[in-house]
Amino acid sequence: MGYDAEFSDYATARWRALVRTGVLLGCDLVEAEDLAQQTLLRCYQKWGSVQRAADRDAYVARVQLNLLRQSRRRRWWGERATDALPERTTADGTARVDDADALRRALGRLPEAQRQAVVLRHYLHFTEQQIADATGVARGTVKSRLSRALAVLVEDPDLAVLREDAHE
Amino acid sequence: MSEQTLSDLLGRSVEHVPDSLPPIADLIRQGHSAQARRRLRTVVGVAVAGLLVVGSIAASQLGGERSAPPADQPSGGGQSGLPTPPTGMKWVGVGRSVVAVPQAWPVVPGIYCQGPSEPFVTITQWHVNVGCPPYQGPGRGSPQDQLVIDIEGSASGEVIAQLEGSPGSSALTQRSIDASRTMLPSGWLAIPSGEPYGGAGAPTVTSEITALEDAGFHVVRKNAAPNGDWQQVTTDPEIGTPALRGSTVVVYDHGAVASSATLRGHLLWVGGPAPGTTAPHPGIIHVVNADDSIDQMVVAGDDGRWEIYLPPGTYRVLATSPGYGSTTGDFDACSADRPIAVDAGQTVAMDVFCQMG
Repeated sequence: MGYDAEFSDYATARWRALVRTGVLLGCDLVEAEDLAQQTLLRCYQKWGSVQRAADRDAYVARVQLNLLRQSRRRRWWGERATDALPERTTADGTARVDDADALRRALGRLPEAQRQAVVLRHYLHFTEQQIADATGVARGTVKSRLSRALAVLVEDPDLAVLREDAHE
Repeated sequence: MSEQTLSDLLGRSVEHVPDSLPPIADLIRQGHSAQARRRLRTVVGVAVAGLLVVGSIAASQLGGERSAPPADQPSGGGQSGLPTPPTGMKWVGVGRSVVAVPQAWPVVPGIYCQGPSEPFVTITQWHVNVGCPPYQGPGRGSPQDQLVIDIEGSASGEVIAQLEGSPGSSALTQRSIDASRTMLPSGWLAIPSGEPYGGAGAPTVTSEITALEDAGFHVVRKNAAPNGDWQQVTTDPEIGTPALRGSTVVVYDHGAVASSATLRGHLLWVGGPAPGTTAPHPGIIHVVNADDSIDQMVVAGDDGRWEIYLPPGTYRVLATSPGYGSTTGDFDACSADRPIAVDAGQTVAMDVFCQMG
């Protein structure tokens, strides 16, 4: 399979997860799509490194987290004033958005490192070692971050109702 | 909350995110353009190198060659053996690969586009961003003025330097950067940044000292006045600049925003009849504050001794010791008997215990 074809397959397969991971990490939809695009572009430019990576998904996650970190540090000029707000038509999903908002608030109260660990572990289903590779910390630190994050989330009032719904 | 419940909640929370198609064609087109620019820069850069850098060096060294000196060549007498950078420039890089950047630009490790108002260099062990202004902060210039050089190293020693943004009126160009690329002579090494590969934030005093010692430098730690809240630690020579391996590097701890409190103690196994006898053991000490914003580890040696520099605060001290486990597992199975508070400039002793039986 050629270079471009292999990249296309990978990008197509991972696009949805990259966008949704961005949303869970605190981006709005436009930011999340921009972040996913920048992540894939960076990976395309270094596709050889992606191919050689022992764990391709962890490598790409590391790229995404680094780009997110840089974009937040540069946010002061990353924002653009416009005359008209962009419009996006979506189906009515009020209840689902309420759920998403509750979870976003709960995640937003976590320290950034714990939030990343939770999203990588419980949304992307990374192993602790993959999270360690993606975030550049020891596996033990990943364990402690996940443990503390769960301890906080279990007490979160916004999530109590969602947990009950999930069990129904 | 079970892990399955949390996974379900996360999955449900993004169900409303509309599906879209990845812009594959745009990505590939942009990627091809970037690769073409990089190849062109490399070709042109090689040609220009002979005129710009080698010419400059030849002139400054009266026709001398940029050859690597013997490994045991002394460093005195104007840093003999180290190629002279172009006028007004200095070497900054990763490992033995460096490029020339303006002499006046400070090096700020681990920060991207935040720092002093003048141009500066940011560096990590694996990524170096040069530039980001004179255009720092709101009202200090337009985004089009942004100028960044992204330098990425790899474990194999390869270093990529890529100029991003519009150079505007700056004399710094991709050609000049490519042309200045230089491999340091044997025995020389760029002062490493203590920021771990892929990690967040700037190096701490502890991590910087660890990186320097791992690279073979002799380290002297000193306290220093605050140096802006973007910079916890500085070094002399500056991070990213060349130094002889084995030479002394001073690590400056910049006061209240830095790691200015010291915790030290022993890791001890405790057993036998009350009050028990203790025996030192090696392990990993894990220090963490209440909100998890500071989470650091340090190694306890065979004699159980450990020491860590931290910002002032209150910490829990835990430990993992090989061979010791509890009913909840072996990770962080040992602990100090209470949280400990440390103030700036204070040194506090605190032993960590692994209870036997």
